[in-house]
Formats: sequence, C-alpha cells, structure tokens
Amino acid sequence: MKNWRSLLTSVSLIAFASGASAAELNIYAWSGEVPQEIVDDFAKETGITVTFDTYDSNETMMAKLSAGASGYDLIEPSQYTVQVLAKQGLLQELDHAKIPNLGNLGAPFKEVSYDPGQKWSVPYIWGTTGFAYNEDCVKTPPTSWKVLWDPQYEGRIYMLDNMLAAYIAGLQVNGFKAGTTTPAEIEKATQSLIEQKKVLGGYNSTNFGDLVASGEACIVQGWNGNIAQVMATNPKVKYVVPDEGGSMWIDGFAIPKSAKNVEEAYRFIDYIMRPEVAAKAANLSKSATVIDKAKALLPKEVVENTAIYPPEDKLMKADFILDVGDATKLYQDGWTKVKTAQ
Amino acid sequence: MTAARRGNLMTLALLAPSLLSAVLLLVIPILIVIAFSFAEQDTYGGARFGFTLTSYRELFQTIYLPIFTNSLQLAAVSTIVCLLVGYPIAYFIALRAGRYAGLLLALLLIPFWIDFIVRMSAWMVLLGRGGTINSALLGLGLIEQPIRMIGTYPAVLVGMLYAFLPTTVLPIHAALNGLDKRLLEAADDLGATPLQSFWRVTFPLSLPGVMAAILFVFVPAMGVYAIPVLLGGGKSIILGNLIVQLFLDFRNIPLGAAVSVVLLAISSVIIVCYMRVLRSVEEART
Repeated sequence: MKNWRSLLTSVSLIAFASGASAAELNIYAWSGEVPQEIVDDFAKETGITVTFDTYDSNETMMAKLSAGASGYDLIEPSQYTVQVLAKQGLLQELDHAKIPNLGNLGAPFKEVSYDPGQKWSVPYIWGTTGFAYNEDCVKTPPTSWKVLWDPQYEGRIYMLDNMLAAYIAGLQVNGFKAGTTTPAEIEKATQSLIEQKKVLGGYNSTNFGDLVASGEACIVQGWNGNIAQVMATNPKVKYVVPDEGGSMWIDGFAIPKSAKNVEEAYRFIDYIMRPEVAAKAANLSKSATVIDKAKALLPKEVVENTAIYPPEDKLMKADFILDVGDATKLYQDGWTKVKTAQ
Repeated sequence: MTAARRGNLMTLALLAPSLLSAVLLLVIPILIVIAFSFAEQDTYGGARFGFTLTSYRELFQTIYLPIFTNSLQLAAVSTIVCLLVGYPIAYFIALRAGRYAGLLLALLLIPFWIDFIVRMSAWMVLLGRGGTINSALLGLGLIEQPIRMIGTYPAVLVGMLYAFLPTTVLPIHAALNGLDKRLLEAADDLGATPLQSFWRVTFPLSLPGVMAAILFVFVPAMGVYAIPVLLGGGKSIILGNLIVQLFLDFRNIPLGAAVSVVLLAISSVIIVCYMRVLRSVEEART
C-alpha cells in the first residue's frame, strides 16, 4: 500500500517536472494596471505558472497579436481596441458559464456600447485621460488643456507618446470631440499639436508619473491610474480632468483566438472579479474598479480620491473613444507630421 | 579524390556552421522583410502577401521625407562629433600612452559590458533637472536655475557620442598602432615640424581607420532608436523610430518593411562606397 502511494507520488512528480501537468498562463496587460501581487496570489492559489508582460499602448499589443502567434492567453485591451480586435477576428467569443463572478459587474459595465452582450471582453478597471501638474512649479491650478500649450512652462511639458491620447488634447483644445472622424477637425488638431512642440520637453507614456513627481516636468498629460500611484507618495502632484472633457476609458480582459491556455485564462478573469481580489487590485493600481462590491471594500482615501473617482459632472463631459475605422489613416498621417515637425 | 578537391570539401565543411547560421539568421529574415515590403495592407493591420509598390509609393510622400533628412543629418553630425573626440583619444592611446595603452583601452570598453538601455538611463540621471550635473553646478553657484538638458538636441548628441565612441576609437587606434615609427623619425630628420609630420605622415596613414570609424558610426546611427526617445524626448524621430512606429503603433507591416529595406539599401550603398575608397587608398599606397 505504502509502496503504491510513493510510486504514485513519484509518477506525479515526474509528470509535474516534465511539464505535462504544469498549467501555464501568459498574460499581456497595460503597465501599472494589473499589480504583480495579484498575479503572484493567483499563481500561489492555483499552482498555475504565470508569465506576465506589460505594454504601454493598445497599438503595440495589437501589433503583436496581428503578427501571428503571440503566445499570449489573456490580454487587456481598452474599449476601442476590443472593437478593432473583434473585427479582425483575433478574439475568442467568451463563454460566460466559465466566469461565475461575471454577475459582480457594476450596473454601468454590464452593458457597454463597444461590446454588446460582453461577447468579447469583460471590463476590469476604468479611468480617465487628463493631465497632472506639480504644485512646486504650477502655482495657479489649471483646469484647461490650454496649459499644455503655455510657453511659461517651455521644456517642462510632456505629452503621452500615444497617438489617440495626444489627439484627445489636440482635438478638445480646439473644441472638437476626441475620437472624431471629420478630416478637417483632425487636420486642425494636427496643427495644434505641431505648434505645441515648441514648448514640449518630450513625449512619454511610460514614466510620465515620475517625470511630474520629480519636477523634471511641470505638467504631463497622463492616465489617472499612473498619476494616482505617484500622488500616493508625492502630495504635490495633482490630477485634472480638463474642462474640455478629457476622456474616459475602460480596460477589460479578452482571450486571443490564438490562446493555448484558455481554461487558465478564464480562471484568471473569474479570480480577478472576486470582490476582495478586485478591491486589492484597484487599491494597488490606484484605479477605479468595475465591481460594485469591491468598491465597498476600498479604503476611504481611494474612493474619495477625485483622481481615481472623478465627480459625476466631469464624467458626463468626458469623451469615450470608439474605433475610428478608416479615419485611423488620417490620425496616423497627422501623428507622423507631428512627430517629424522640427 | 585529388588533394585539392579534398581541401575544398574540408573548407566547405568547416564553413558550414557559419554559412548555415548566416543564411538562417541573416539572409532569410532579410528576404522575409523584403517580401513584406511588397505586401498589401488593410486598415486593421493585416498584411496580405502579393506584389504591390503601394508601400514604396507611400514612403516617398512628403510626410516621410523629413525623417530621411533628419536621420542623415543626425548620423552625419554624430559621426563628425565622434571623430573630433575619438581621434585624439585613439592618437593618445596608440602613440603616447606607452605602457598604459592596454589599460586605457580596457577602461574605454568596460562600460560597454553594461546593457545599452541601462547606460542611457544613467545619462538621463546625469542630465536631468535634479540630476548630477545640475546639482553640482547649482552647488558650486555657477548657475541659479537648473539647465534644461533632457529633451534637447545636444543631449541626443551626447548620447550618440557616448554610444559610438568605442567604435570610433578602436579602428583609428588599430591604424595608428601599426604605424611604422621609423617614418615619423624620418620626417623629423628631414626637418618636418611635428604638425607637418602629423598632417603628411600620421594622418594619411590613419585614413583607413578613420574611414572604418565613419562607416561604423554613420551606418548604425541612422537606425538608432533609444537615444532620440530617452535623451531627446522623442521629439525628433529618425528612421529607427519610424520603423518602430510603423510596426508597433500603426501596425503597417508593409510600410515598416519598406522603410527597413530602404535603410538597408542606404547602408549597402555606403558600405560599397567605403570599399571602393578603401581600395583606391590601398592601391595608391603600394
């Protein structure tokens, strides 16, 4: 009897060592949005070996997926990206039966315009695109995108190195809606962004939070989560959703068609939708959760932080960028002009 | 089997591993890039194989031309700066440093064991507003406000100089190191001033090294990606950045491939020119 058991143990050990039964999961997510701690907790609980990579633009992630076998089982696209990937046929239709915690989604996220019926994606966190400033450098609290064109901060203004994000400011400062498909409006925004280069220190979408926290930059365009993370240690950094609107975004999880470890991907999605896990993730990444029961578990300083949960009236004014379709080419040509202008 | 044939077979067998890896890792990838540059592109980033010149036609539109001129200009200025700094260093190590020559060469090369991005990040720390240089200058009372360095053209040049200094120094050093010292003695005996003997003996003899240095700096400088982004703030993009933008941001694989092919073509032309000039220099000498 005892021998049998030890034999079984060694067989299963061998099987484990040879990788035959070792479950894997390869996640590719926005940098700063899925905390390493959550990934580690998940790996510990399930025994799944998780490989975790990050990106700082939807486009980079899409490029890797459309180039063929990316090796990723779970991705975290923003709303318009879900539309593009679905149109390209790069996503798997989700089997809701495998996500028992799907019911935990808060009301506004149960039915989203970009993915009716949650066919391709499940929301994870949401946030805004605005700007942050350092009080040491900017004395009067700015409320408009215009401050990103202000010559008194020459060399100390940074824009996100991200085409659609930069165009949010370029379009809205002219009174247009972000994500427009009207050629004349995109052209006008391009001119504004070219003009802006004179005062820019640079473009940055990786460590813009550090730039404004260290004082290297006075003002940076940014996504609220990354900014809220540096605000936690440097209270002189303030985040603003501009009067012109800024934008609201939703990042969610989706499974690429080429995924090899589909069951594990479902397990992760379901795991991160548990209220206590979602709360921990939101607290660590300083982002707004889509799970109502998780919001109730968050500490007061997160829920009351307007950089994370902006006031309702601000949100109503924010633009929600959807797939711009063929206008993509207009944005790309405009962005190339912006980047090459001297 | 004759001895000659056996020798040939032997050579082939010995060359096989390097030939195989060159074909697998160099020739085939380049052919793939060339094939993609003729592929068709759809709005959502899919590339369909075919034969179309669309990408090349698009490439020579006006919006991309400034990137070519930016790149050539940056490469040219970087090469000149590298030569101005690198030549004296090479000269000193080869002809004046004596027994410290080996040590100096090692000191020049050791930092290059560290990853490129890490070294460039170090420059960001040095050149930042609160960085080492600004703090030192402020501390000494030489300036009242921190000087802005990151995100400027000179910062990019500093990065380029730092990145390409060893590839400038080494070939020039090699040329000068092999210099027959008796030639300098002869020049001296014949009444040449040190300056004259430098311009008429040393410098002409170091030319092959200088040309190699130009090649080693100019060609890779056009494809540099990280330096303009990290030290220049990403405000002035060159061909290396354009390729990344086209592949990763715009998902336009055919156009990205076409830019790569053009960059490859420019590099090849430069290398061919270099070989020609080198040959004429060698012939003139013999």
